[in-house]
Amino acid sequence: MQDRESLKDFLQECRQVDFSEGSLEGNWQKLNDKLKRPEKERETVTKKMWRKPVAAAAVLCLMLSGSLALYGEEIFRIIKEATLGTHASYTMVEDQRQVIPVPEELRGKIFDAEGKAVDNLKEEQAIYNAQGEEVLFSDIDGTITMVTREEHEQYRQEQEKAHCQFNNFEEAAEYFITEISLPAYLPAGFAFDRAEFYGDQEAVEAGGNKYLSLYFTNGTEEFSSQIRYMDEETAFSSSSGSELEKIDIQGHEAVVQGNNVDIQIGDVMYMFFGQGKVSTEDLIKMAESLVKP
Amino acid sequence: MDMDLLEKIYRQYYKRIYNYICFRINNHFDAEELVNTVFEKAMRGWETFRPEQSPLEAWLVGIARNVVTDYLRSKKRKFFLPLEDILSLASPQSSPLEIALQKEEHQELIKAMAQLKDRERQVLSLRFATELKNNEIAQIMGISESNVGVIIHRGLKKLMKVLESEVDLVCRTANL
Repeated sequence: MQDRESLKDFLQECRQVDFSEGSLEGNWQKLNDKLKRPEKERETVTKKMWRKPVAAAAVLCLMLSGSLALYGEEIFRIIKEATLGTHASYTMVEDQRQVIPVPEELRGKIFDAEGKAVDNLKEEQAIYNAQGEEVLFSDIDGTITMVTREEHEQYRQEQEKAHCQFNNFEEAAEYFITEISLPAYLPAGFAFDRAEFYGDQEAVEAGGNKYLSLYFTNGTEEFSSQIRYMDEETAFSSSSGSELEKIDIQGHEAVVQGNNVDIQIGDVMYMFFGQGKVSTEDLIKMAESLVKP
Repeated sequence: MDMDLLEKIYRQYYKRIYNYICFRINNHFDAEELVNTVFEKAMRGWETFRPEQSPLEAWLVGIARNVVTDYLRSKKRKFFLPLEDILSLASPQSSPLEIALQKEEHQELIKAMAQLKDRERQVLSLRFATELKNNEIAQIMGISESNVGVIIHRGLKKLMKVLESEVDLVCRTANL
């Protein structure tokens, strides 16, 4: 009886917890402002949220090339555009300047290998923080954020822990929202290693999973692929300086950009990331093997 | 729905929806954005609200639940290096809200919640944050009312146990 009473008291205590304290007015103002903005502007924001965040190691220039809406199309000339289905779009852009001035929010905070403050960015330039640690960048709704490799690695490890892993593709496929296949073709020396869903086992077993990551290994190197069920929730747009080409694979639309190949088959997008370990030709062959009669 | 009605509903249910989201995702930076997504979706989907089928709060919580599910799924996009998640760990700024969140009991409760099973966390989040009755929680979760009762009872016991063991540890460390 005492146990029941203490649980009841505990429940009441938990119900007193209020995380929202002091945030209502400011948040309402944000929503109010957003809803009053013209429809066209809101669309841009939504599309921006879908954008594939490019945060390649210390290549801020490349990342900024994805920020068309933020930095203006006069800076990044669109060379080519392509879509796959109705929920994926790709852009190839060219930076029209030789160098890119460091955005205001990063001024005085980033340095080169010699410890000199960086004012202009060039591609493939490693960037360091005041402590001399190499940093990575991302862009969230126009805010540029920098994190150290260590912080990123820590995050990555936390994410790994939250993954539900399968060593058998067929077993993993049972929990995907729709039917999916493993490419029959694999680059020489590589074999399927594992499939991973995000989330703990219970969440994954609840079904309806729309993303599945696949890893292939040759014993020393690894490359990856993602299978994604395409709908409004999973829609994305990608912008990169790499060559973009739309191709047809056995009647299915596919996009080749840099060392990546995406092919949409029905509602499912198969995305292959060569990561410099596998040739683009091999990735195309993997895509072909999904649809070969 | 016009803005006046939205504001009225927002002010009435903001705290409950916000708290529900916080209990589920434990990230108050993202919670601020998600709570607005919920009300924006509610505004856009207002015509689909059927008061004869469910009370407004249950409808809003249903939307919030979907928004949280989408959010958690979006975390799967690991290939795209979602570094934004690190923001919450790395941000040096402390907002008044953040300071409020640093209150010991909130942190401990959230940490303890993280040790529960997903379903327990979902049900307890609804029980803690909203005014929904067990039968309404059952409807939202797609489980029986008695099951809701069992999950709440079991979840609360687990939470208490985790929190008590934390207190024991602190006392032992401090030689109290």
